[in-house]
Amino acid sequence: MKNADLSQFQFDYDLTWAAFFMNPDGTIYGRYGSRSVAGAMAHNSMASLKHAMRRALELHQNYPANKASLAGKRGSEPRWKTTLEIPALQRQFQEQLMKPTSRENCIHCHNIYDGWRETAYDEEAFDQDSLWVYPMPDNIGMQIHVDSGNTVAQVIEDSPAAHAGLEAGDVIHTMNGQPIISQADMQWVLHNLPTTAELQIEVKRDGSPLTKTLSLSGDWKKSDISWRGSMWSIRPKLRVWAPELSVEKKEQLGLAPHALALETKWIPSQEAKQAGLQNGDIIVEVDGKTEAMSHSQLNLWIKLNYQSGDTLPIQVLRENKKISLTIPLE
Amino acid sequence: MKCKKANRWKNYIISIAALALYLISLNLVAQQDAGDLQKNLEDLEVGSDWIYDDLQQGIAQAKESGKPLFVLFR
Repeated sequence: MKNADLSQFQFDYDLTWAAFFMNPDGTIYGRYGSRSVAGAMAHNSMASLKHAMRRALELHQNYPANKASLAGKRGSEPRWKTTLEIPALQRQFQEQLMKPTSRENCIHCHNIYDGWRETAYDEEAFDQDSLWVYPMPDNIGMQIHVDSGNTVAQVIEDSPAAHAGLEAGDVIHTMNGQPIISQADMQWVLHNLPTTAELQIEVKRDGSPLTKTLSLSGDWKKSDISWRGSMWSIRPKLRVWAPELSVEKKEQLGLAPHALALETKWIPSQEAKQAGLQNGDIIVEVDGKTEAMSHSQLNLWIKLNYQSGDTLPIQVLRENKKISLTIPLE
Repeated sequence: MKCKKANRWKNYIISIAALALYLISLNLVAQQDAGDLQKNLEDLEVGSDWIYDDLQQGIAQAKESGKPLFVLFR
């Protein structure tokens, strides 16, 4: 991503892979490639890529008559036009830029989020709301059939989609006027909405066009972001590697299957070492929480609920004894 | 997983592809031949008719052919 034009190429930078369909004049027909906590390829398939390509070709055939409806597919001008202009990335990659690009020194897509975030911390302007990017259509109550890429598979009960009267089988044609070729296109529209907003969706139901209006407010943009590569740059940082024990190993230690049990394997944090944490310690309680979490989920929970400089009370199992420790967070 | 899947995706992509873009070198950074970049990043199974690491060439080709661009990041 060293010289990618960030005013043109705006997408969810935590990705498996991402694609753009474009006119050579820069007009974007659509995006493809979605990812969530459900898995790296849970929302992508050959069939949905083919459908997205066909829809992109239809838009291309109708261009430029449809140009106005495509205008919203380009984002607003970003503060930094390339990754190398992002101050925190400039600092991080300065020494490496004169070396030929390799896997060790390339600027990955997720580094863009890292750079924005680090710069915001430097400017004391970090806003936790900035973490809720590119919400899936599931967030508003529409589960999309993966292979179609634009057909509602299920409407979640009591969701904005349900309240608006959307139904399974509805084919999504536009959202707020933008033609939709994929789930990534839906995410783009949702990403750019304010938290409180009305969303107009044009669907086809049994071949007939219908327009539904969703009222969105509250926490609908929030979801489990523990899968995101950029999650690790959110402060505070525990800097302890502790993967979850298997159910079998939990049983051997007399722990319930749903109990928290993270085995400390690596402690880069000097503060955690000085606080007494040792490799092999099984973390079984974190500030009163004892329910099972993965390593990533624990870290995300800490990042969302603590500040740098806070301390974290934990309990560990060591040689069958419970020990209380207080770990400083960086 | 990456290489096998990449091949399968490629078969579909080629039909309308004008461009595959992974990384673009900058004057500010070390100059690097696209072939070396491809080798360093182990992108060895990129289709011979894909355009690698050259957006401008992709745009020029798309204008000439009248086809849309398919731009891929990973």
